Amino acid sequence: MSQLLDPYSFQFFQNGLVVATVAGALCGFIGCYVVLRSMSSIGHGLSHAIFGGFAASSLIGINVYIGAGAWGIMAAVTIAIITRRRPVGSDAAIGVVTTASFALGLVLVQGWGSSNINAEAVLFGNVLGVSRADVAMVLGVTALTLVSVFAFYRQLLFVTFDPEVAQVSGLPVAWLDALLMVLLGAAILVTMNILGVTLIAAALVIPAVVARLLTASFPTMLMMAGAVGAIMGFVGMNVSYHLDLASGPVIVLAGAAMFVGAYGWGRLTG
Amino acid sequence: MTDTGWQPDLLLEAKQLCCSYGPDEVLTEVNLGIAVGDFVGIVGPSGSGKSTLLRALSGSLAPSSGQVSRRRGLSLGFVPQVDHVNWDFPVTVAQCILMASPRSGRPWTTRVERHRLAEVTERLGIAELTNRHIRALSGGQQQRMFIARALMANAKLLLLDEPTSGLDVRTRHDVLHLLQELKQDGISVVLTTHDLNGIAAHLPTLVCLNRRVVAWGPTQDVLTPQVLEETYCSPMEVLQHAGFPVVVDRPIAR
Repeated sequence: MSQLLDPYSFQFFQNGLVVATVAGALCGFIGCYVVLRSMSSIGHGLSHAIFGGFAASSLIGINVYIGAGAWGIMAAVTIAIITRRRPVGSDAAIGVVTTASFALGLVLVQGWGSSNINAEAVLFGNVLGVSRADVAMVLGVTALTLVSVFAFYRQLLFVTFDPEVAQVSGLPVAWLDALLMVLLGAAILVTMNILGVTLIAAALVIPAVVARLLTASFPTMLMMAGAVGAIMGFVGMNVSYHLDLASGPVIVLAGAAMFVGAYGWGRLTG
Repeated sequence: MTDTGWQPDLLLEAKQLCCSYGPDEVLTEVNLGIAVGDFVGIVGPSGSGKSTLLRALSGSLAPSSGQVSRRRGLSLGFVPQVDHVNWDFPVTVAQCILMASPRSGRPWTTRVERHRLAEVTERLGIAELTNRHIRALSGGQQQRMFIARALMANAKLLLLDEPTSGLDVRTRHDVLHLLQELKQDGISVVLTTHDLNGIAAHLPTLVCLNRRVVAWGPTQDVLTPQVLEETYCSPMEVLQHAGFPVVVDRPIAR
């Protein structure tokens, strides 16, 4: 028992555990909108695109959250511009822009990166990289997300279910889409250290899919996905410490195990 | 959208409306007005631009040229084609209808909203179904749910895209009667349909569309062999039965 509690005596682990659990819940929560709007590729792509911003801002020496955030917005705008010029579809535009941004990040880190840039930690997650500032950031973004979803719950639901009718009904669809993208981008930014950019998409998708397998009610799905994400982060962090593995992959595998359980439960109960 | 020189009973007006998807122009110089109390059917062959016209009238599709003007403060209700709806979306009938309630964005419902929901669902005969998942509804019930959503937002003009598509004869008649009742309650209705005999012939006003307005007016005046041939590019006959026009294909001479 004491061995299980050993890591809790370390400040870095406490920080990592809070971020993993809260970020898991945050990704699960926002992931419901991502999954129901069939935007999984955006979540995946945006996290990769942000890696380019991380590398560039690290090299220039500006705040990583500001640099990577601005880079993410630029990537999203570029995707929108390319998509508007047919015949390139949005999935292809996402593929081109985000992988190019990811590749640029790798080149920057390999070519000009200094020893203080731990690319592997950003790619796959590293509990040692989590500071008190990261804890504050993830708590702040989670609070912002909860307030936004609470204040615009019905509008966001309408836009997610049927954007065209929502627009006809007078909702500011473009504004609500932008709000969702900002929340998604912020969730990716604050989760980057613990999960790694290559695995964030899983944290966005798996909890929402698990919840959808277990419920047919949207508010229940939101709460359940948040809970699944939090459990995924908490269990994954503990297991990764004891097995001495990178936190990101273990958290994702914990989620995958929950998915298998929910899928099996769904098959059994019809 | 403009409001200059607006006739008092006019709800919506399209002037020289053109719509394109890329280089392909789907609608050309459409002029159309929808007034209070109108019950209009838009008919035409596949690809004639019926749904495009409806989307342009609703404001969800920007015209490539021309304009759609709407009466200031007009509340529109749009009922999409059921084929375009994600029926696996995790919402109940009540949750779907309440999306359109304009009172607040908060998750919970107010007493006023619950009262209005009960009133609307009772009116449309789906009060018993509010806790069901949307996939558990029949085709006619799905249409009623979306009409209820529009009424929840106090729509004064309903735009329905193929509301009777895929419905059996009985359900089709039920939906048509429901829309006629709504019209009597002061709600104007515009719908698209492929069904010339089952639906279009029973509506007071028709628009025959084939990328442009071929004819627009009272059904008896519009449903003529000449207009139909021009609209569908195929010879047709119009017979009379029990006071209603019946459209039949004319065999093509070889």
